[in-house]
Amino acid sequence: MRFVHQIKPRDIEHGGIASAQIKRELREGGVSAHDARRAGIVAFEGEMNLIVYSVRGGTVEVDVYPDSIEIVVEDDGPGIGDIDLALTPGYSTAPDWATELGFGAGMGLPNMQRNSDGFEIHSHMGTGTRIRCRIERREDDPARTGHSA
Amino acid sequence: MTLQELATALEWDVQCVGADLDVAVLGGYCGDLLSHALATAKPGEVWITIQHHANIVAVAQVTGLAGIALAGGVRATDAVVERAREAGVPIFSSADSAFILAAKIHHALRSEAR
Repeated sequence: MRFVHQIKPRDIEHGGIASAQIKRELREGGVSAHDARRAGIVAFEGEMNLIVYSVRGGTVEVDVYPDSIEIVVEDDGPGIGDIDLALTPGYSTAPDWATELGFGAGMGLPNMQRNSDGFEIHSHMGTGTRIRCRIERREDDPARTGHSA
Repeated sequence: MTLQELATALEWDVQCVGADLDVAVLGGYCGDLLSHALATAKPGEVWITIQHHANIVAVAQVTGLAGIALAGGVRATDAVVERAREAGVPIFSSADSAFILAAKIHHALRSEAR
């Protein structure tokens, strides 16, 4: 399975729609609730980063393999100046309009990293950012989750 | 305790008609930062917040929340309610503050557990 979503910059009104659709498509494709939830969170944070920060928007690409799910979030600018700082929980450069809506907690990239088993980020100022997240698939454990959300 | 039972007991205004309210409420999460909700809230919980824009619907979907309880008399706009209806995410509005709302939900869930 492969899904590709184009995300427009500053399109806050539609923020999260692609991620919710990705989660639904993964569930319909037989991905466990646990994995679909992790992928949904990764996709949401990536999608919102494209909306809030990117110059021209970008893409969220999802590839589903038998053992893993790969999510690539990519844009062509502006790029991240200090990646280590951007990965620090609580650090944010979100504009005021975004923080007023509850974004800019400085947890976006850390959330992507935490919900991934493999996480790579490449970014250069003026060129753009590419984030690759790999989620190792596992079956749901009813005894642990108690539900199928 | 189901969402419907909780909403009735706490006299919430059901803003999103048509959503499935017959789901078990497993707990609650209180906060207005979206990424913190994504990181911390658990599936089946009710999200208490004063954020009432369209993005809260996606957060609830992705996280697998039972529903959203807007505190302090905050109400979602018709556009947000429509998006929630399409997504199947229940939204309620309560006149109680987030603090009081959290206490009431906690008390209701604990009372039932006894």
